[in-house]
Amino acid sequence: MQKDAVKQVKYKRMGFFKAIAKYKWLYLMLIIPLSQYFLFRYAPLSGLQVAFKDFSVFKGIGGSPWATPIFKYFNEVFSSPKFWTAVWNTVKLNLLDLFFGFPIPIILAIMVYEMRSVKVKRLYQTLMYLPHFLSWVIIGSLVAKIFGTNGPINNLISQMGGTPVNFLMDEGNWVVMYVATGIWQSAGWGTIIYLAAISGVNTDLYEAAEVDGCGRLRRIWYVTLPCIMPTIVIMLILRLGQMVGIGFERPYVMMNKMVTDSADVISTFVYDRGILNRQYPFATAVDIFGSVVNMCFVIGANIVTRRMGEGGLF
Amino acid sequence: MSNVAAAKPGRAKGRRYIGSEIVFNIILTIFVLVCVLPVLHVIAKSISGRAPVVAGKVYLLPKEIDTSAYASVFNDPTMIKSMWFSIEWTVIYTALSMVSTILLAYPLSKQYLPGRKTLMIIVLIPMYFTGGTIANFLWVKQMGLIDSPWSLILPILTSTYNTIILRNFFESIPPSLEESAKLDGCNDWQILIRIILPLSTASLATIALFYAVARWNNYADVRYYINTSSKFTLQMKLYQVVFASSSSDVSMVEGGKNAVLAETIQCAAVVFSTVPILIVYPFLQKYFVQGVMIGAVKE
Repeated sequence: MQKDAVKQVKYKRMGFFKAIAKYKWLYLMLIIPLSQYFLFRYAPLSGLQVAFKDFSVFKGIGGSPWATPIFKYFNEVFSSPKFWTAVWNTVKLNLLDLFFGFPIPIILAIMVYEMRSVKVKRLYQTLMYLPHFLSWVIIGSLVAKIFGTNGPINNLISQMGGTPVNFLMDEGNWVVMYVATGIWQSAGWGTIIYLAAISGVNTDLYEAAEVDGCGRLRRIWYVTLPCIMPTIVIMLILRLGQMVGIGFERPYVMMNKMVTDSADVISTFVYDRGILNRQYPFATAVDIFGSVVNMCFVIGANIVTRRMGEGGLF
Repeated sequence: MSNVAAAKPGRAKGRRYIGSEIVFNIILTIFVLVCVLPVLHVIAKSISGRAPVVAGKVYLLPKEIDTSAYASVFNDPTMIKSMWFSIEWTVIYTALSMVSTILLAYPLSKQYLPGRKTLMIIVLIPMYFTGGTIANFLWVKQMGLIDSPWSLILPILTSTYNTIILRNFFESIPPSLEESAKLDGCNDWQILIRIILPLSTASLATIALFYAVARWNNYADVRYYINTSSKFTLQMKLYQVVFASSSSDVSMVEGGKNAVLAETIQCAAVVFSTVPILIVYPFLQKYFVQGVMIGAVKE
């Protein structure tokens, strides 16, 4: 730390042009990536003003007049019942994902770790990680094929004398399918971080527990779980930070016209209003709402993890 | 990860927990089967005959093997074209992103570089605040990139997350290597190309795979920016085949073929789109796990 401080003082003394001359090659390298950042990450922010303008494609962003009142489109958004449905669905689906999806990777990781044979462990891991690499379109197709009206699940049900279930067209069932698909896609992959945490546990503790007469389950409960608790808490907080954002692809590939009341989330709502129906100011206002709330949550989550001394993401 | 293999819990006193061993194996086996069976089912359906698929008799094993569904897929020029389009632009995206990521990560890894902190902030802000779908869309439109494959490349060229992973790796390379090269008269470019990059092949492979898989699987931006069917990626094409098979732009279902043939064709299309990922999966698994671990190590 002290050395760093000394060095920093030295830099401050170095003049701007002198620094450029000395490290010209390093600065030259930055030209390509930095122009990408400015051109495609910072410049698009100028489009956010569309939310405050009576946007016309012909006049362009700069030439379109400001809306009167300036928050016209935000008022429209906040008085739109469909918007609140999308917000509620986003939070609801995230909460369900969290409640049902969060514990599963932890349980799986513990069980995989307890496997004695390295080969068996590897086999489980290899098969478990697979769904993570499939695209949402492929996953959506698999779901449609398997739970569709002529899918194997319904065929089995009718063979056993039951009545076929409409898994994807009924709103309640759809939500279950959505959550289950999420678990299917990410639970196996989610074990990696917990496996790393578990393998960091001091094995002396296990031996001590066994000497004290703990069986395997007790050892897991009294040693493994407390030891990986910091990781669990961090993952939980980071997950809570994402409570108001759902990517576009997962709900989009799974949804259909029968379930839009349960399935429309902020991202799909923005797509529908903005890109399909070209209500750019309205959709941008929804985007801004989503971004700001999301940013507050993420930063909040980071502050909490930092306070806990675990070092947040930034 | 080697620790996972090294530690042998439950062996300490040679005790065997047969009950829990069985229960754990049953649960894990069920989970793993659930992960894999959907893929097997679709493969089975894709190579089955029409009649058993109609009757709903195909579960995990194909019945009355019939490969005509694949013939339809391979004879559909739009499908093959989408495959090539996806491959072409995934390669271009991965190559350009690697160049850009290396050129960003290397200067950022130099603790002594004046302005490094400011740079880091510039790089990190877009991770937390983005313009959102519409602002990005309007910008792509303004740049005249709508319906151009470059709209799938340029906006996502450098991933901040991958940059940080690579920067962390570069920082772990002993600075003495760089110093001695400097004494020999190398400039920063020569050091990067001749010394640093050859040392980083594993990390570079990891990140290249991150990029390739992300581009290959990405669907949303194709949906947003591309309108012409000749520029549809494989994911977009698959979406149309499976979910919009009634619409007129799916050439395969036309021509009087009935709905059941379409079902086997749909399954063949799903398999066709999954195979590229399955081929690279063994490499992916190895490198991605490493990547996640590098990413998890904070500075």
